[in-house]
Amino acid sequence: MTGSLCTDCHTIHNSQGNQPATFDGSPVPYLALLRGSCEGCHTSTSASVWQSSIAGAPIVYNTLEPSYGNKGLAAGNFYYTGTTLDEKGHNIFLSNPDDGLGNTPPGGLDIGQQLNCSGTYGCHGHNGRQSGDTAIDDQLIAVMGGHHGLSSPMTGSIAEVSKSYRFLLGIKGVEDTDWEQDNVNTSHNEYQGSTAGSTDTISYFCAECHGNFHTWEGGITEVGTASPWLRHPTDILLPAAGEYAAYTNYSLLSPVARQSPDLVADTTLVNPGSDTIMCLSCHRAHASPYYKMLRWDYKNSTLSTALSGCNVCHTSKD
Amino acid sequence: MKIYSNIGIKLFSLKLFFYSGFLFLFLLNPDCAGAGAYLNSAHGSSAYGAKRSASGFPADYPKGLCAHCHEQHASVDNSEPGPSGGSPSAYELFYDNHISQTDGICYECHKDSGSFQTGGSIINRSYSYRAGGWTSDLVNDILEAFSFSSPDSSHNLDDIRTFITGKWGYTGNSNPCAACHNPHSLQGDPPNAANSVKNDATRGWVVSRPSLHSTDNNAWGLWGDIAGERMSVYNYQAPYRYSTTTNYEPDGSTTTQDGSNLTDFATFCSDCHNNTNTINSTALARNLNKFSWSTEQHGGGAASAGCPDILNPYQVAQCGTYVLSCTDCHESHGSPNLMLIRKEVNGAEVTVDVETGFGPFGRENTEWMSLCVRCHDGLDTTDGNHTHPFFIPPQVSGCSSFQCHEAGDIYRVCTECHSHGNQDIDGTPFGEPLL
Repeated sequence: MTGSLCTDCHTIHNSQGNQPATFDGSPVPYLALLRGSCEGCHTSTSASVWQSSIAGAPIVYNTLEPSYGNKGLAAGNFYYTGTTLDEKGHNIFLSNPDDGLGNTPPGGLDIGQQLNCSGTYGCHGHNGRQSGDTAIDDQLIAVMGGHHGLSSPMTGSIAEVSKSYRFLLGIKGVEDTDWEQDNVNTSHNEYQGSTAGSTDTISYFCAECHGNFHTWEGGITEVGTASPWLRHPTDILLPAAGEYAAYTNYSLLSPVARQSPDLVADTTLVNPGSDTIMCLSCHRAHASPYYKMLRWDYKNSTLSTALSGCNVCHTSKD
Repeated sequence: MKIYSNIGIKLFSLKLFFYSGFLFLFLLNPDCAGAGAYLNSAHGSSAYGAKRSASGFPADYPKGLCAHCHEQHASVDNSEPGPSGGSPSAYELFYDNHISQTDGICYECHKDSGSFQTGGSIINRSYSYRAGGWTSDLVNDILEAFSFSSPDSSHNLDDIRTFITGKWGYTGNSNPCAACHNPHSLQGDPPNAANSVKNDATRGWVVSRPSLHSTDNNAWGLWGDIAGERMSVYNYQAPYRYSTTTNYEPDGSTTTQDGSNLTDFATFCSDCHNNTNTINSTALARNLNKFSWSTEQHGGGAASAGCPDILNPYQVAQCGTYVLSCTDCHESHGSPNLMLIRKEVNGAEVTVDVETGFGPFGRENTEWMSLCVRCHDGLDTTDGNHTHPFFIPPQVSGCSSFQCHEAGDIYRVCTECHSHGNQDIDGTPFGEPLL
């Protein structure tokens, strides 16, 4: 975040013309002299806005159904959990807790409180789930410094929030300049993958809460370590043989992770035998229009559509 | 199985598809338009495919969806959907792949009651019923077919699994049903018509060769779905259907009898049952006989000795050239007869269920003749003391010989002489191995 005015995000007295300077009009000031919470900067009331005019923040929550990209940016859009639906995304809104799952993420343990954006009960910043990290309860303090730091080089350091991909502590990746709002495979995020039990992958990050679903976290009894898998594996190679070898053109419907995401020669291509399966091969991180935050409509009444994401990798099962 | 590497055949297939069968296939199954093998399969049909009905399982998943068999996370909403109670299963299946002869993932749906398939049952009939038209058969599901045990018979799944493990990409985790069937490709025959016999208007192809096994659906295609994979590559004569002399197996045609409508089961079965593979049979407590179908008297061997008495629709003039399909005599799953022998062969019922029975001519130990007489005439001809042994080739001089009798005048059991791979009787060269 460079070239922005301090006043885009901060207010010295939370007062302008004797009115609150917070985005939500609250007279109660936010920590760090901020003008709003996470939602304050990353929300739009327009269906078409994908980037905030305030400091260029990516919009992760449109209060109207997003009309850009593939119904949102790369991680999807919280619009789909802003209503009464619980099954289409991570339920971060206090107004809409998950009535079915409560505070227990599938494949994991009760986190003790409703999920939010960051900190102890969230995904971004210091949540204490990486070895050596200390959880911080407050969402804003948990990401403090992240917006001001330089992300390059992306080291995945747990000491500096800005050094981790999308402030996901310890995780590496390469960010698309428009966060995939154009929804084309010539420019997209690149995610860290690994087959060696590394803790800097996007799938490991998901496994911090959904551990039983991850190859190297769930282990032998939960996922297995080789075929036949017990659950769908992640952080394994896309095989270079059989039907998998036919997946060679990068698909935003079922993307792959890279073992060296910052060294991809041609981002439009997939390399079976080298690239890896990840949680985000099937799911959006925030929310999607579809059941279980999937990237495609798994419940579509037209079977070929329902299977369309599966068939990106399982190319002979069309 | 489509030979995708052969461009000529592929183009020919495409032409056939577009110019000859497209409209028909589309009307038959709308998924055919642009669909691949899975969407055209019995499990992947959006019209009648797999659809699990179970507690905790989404009721609005479309038919044919992967999740009806595979659970990507072994749970839905943090709970295991039905059938619940176990740990995650191999291949992400909702139930253990193979447990025993009568317990495994396939039976969770393929049974006539208590099935997880929406509706509560899946009916699958025997070959005698569907191809033979013997609709009196009470066997109506796969579990029931595989439940036959001695003296009845069923293809032993544990033995199959033991045999295929380490071959053709199969492992100890493989489902023995997958030795013959590609679950992502197999079709109903006929599709979605549980109690119907095969007919020439609605055909499907059910098997895939184990020797071509692969997780790649393109590589492990159906066997029999193109002309070069059918019995018409031999001189084949289709048997009659039950109680008719005008309709031929497998689809009841009154004209097609050359096997152009029947999978080449001779090649298919020979992947396992040949003269090199050692296959243990738990039921028989021995290894199966090794034999080459290309030289067997009912296969590629020159059967001629009994041909003067051959029965219709087989023709005397063509004896010595016929090649039979394994399915002409055998069921594939199970049978209330010995050795998977069909209950209906060439138009009439067959009973071979204890082996030592009296058979059609009232002589002890001649029960197997119940099968033989379906095609071989003259076996009841007698010289006053003998029936069939009277016709043993003269060089063997069967009369009054221990070679034909046990103590007294009791015949030896037919299979002591007639078995797959047998070319002699007690060391004496002899002709016609039958079983």
